[in-house]
Amino acid sequence: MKNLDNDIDLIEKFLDGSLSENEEAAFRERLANDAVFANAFSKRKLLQKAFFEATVRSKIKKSIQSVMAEENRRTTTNRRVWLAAASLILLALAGSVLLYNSSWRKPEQQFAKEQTSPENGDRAATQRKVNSMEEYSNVDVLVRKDSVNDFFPDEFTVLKPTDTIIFKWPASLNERYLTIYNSKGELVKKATIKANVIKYTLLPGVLKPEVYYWKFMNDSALIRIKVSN
Amino acid sequence: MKNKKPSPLSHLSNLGYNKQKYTESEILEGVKNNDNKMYRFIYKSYYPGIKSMVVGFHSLALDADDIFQDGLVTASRNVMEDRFRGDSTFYTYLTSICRNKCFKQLEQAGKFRPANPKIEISEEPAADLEDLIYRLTVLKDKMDEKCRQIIELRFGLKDGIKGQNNLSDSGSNVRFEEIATILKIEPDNARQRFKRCLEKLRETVFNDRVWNDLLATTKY
Repeated sequence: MKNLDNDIDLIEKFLDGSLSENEEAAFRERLANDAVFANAFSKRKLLQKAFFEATVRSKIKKSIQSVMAEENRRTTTNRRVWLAAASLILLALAGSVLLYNSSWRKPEQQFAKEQTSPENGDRAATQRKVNSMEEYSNVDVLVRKDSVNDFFPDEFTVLKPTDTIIFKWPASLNERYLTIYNSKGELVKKATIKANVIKYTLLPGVLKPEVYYWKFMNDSALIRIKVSN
Repeated sequence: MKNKKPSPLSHLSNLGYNKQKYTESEILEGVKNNDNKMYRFIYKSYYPGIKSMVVGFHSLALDADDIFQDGLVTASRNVMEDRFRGDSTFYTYLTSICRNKCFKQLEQAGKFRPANPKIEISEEPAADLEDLIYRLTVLKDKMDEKCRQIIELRFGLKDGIKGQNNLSDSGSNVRFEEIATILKIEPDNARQRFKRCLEKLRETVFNDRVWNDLLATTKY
């Protein structure tokens, strides 16, 4: 044990370079001739080499790990920023579409002949669409004031192909067939009207932009209407 | 004095555009100096390719991050020690090292038996010494902080990585007088403390079965 202790001290002094010339020469001679001593010296050097490398590599690995962690953090942050920007753009787009639709859906100010202007307090002849089945996909519904007991629509009513038109007539009229002709005199629509019914709903798309005439079969009143875009 | 104006496109770097490119010699110089900027470049440029290579093995035993880190550590040390001769690009060299690490890990997991046992590329140092170094990394973590510190000082690690690159027979050990000054103790105390700690390290290492198994097959 004592010898081993001495050998360790000797090796450390040699590694320090603190041996005298004679001591160093003796050390080298012993290395060449004493296998146990040579093995102890070799292991000491290996230990130092491996310890040194292990420490240096740990430090390099820590540097690499910190760089990787930092890069991953940066990538995640960038991804979040892009995601937030994309969400904002989507929200803005959705908002724009909603706003556009709500303004487009505002009912048009259309008036029958006796309703000359909205300033007179008359209600517009069109009503805002309320999703009822009979209106289907149309935006405007053309309907006459209930109090007016006359034919509707008439030549003063502005009609569009996309309107749902509620045809109305005087309650006293008791005819069964409502007919619509085009300007060439061709029958476009013939509708059967049940007894005591005083209105007929014509869905959009039936009347294209053109001049039409509507009347009840066997009735003399022929009313001109114009559908335009 | 003129202030250096930032490049008008510098902000694009943060967004992943305008990527900085380096020449081979710049990469090697950066790695040699343990430059974080260069590690960042290597990670951003080379990691995706190496990850694809690791994923290509279709094995849960392999972790792309670990393989890349260990591979880059080995490659960097080889560059620092001038063991990399520059016969290929650094990327090719790094990929080869990483591939070898994959083979090795699969072999250890019993999932791979190489047809040609010599799969390591010629520029890589003896693989067994790598294993010894890795094992010592584990073992030295078991030591207490004071012992680790004095051993690191004695082995010339006080200046970090650049402190000592090539170990010769008689040099590269810091004298106890210098260690004593750093630790503000007497040289004899430093010598005694080191001796005690080295003995602990010897016991830990040379009584370790894995270390001894590796040592039996290693040329050092």
